[in-house]
Amino acid sequence: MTKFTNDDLILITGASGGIGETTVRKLTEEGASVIGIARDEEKLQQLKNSLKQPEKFNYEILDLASNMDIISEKIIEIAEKYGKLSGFVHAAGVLSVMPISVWDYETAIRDFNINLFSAIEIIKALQKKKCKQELLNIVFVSSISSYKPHPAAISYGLTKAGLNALTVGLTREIGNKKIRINAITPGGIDTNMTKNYFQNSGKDYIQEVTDKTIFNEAGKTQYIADLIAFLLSKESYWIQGQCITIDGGEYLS
Amino acid sequence: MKKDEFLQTMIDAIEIEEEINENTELENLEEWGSLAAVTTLALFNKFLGLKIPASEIKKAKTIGDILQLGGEKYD
Repeated sequence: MTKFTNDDLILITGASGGIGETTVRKLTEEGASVIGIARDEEKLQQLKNSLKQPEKFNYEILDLASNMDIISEKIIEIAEKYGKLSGFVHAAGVLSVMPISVWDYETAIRDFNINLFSAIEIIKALQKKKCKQELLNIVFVSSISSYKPHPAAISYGLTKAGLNALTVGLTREIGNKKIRINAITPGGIDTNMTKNYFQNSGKDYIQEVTDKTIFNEAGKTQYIADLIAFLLSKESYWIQGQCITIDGGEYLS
Repeated sequence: MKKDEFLQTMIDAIEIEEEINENTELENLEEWGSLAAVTTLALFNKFLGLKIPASEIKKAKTIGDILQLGGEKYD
């Protein structure tokens, strides 16, 4: 029995890799149609070709760091082209290694644009009657670093803390338009974004995460995609405005 | 950016107070540590457009080893 019906149409940013890519797979396997947004056309096409149901996946190229003005217009175009949306997952994110002694404002602005402001631009359009189905479910991919920003990657933590507050603020502001908004806070997951991320211990980041989790296992994108699918489905209908941690106990250590 | 300019940028960012040269050993340098290493990685990225893996900087024993990571990218 699948979680979603033919009517479900879900928009995902960051679809070309990491958590976003695995989420595309999960949602299409569970019966939803998905529109993926990313910059890399080749990766998106490869993803489509590799799916069990490629017909359930379409993509649009959009650079979330680019001109912020065009993002909400693009969402309106997407709704006109594919139909009204029933879900949105913001899985796009960048992690800049930037200790304060070399803090670069332009880099920080770019981090905020991609990780936080672009989600707001998308929802600006998506929350309109012409873009959403009766019920719209939104999931932000935040991080436990929103609670405990990593040394030398503070910008990332700041943007994710922003997503947590956005979850609550938007729920209070537009939740009554039948828009359900939640965030998830994963711990360390093995993706391109975390590759080569240098931790204070000098150990490989994923090894350090593995040592910290309760089961001494690394976090997988599949675990995250499973929770995202749950939060987009009617099974989680009564969960509103929450930030749910999914980190194998990493934060507790 | 020239190699010696990069070195000066490193010195300023990490606030290295003693006299150093390419032979200076990192383990003898008080200011060198994991945060200094990450700062250096960020500088390689910002000024030379290089994404140096953390594993490479871990191998470095001297200031010279670090500067060498800039390779062909210096002016």
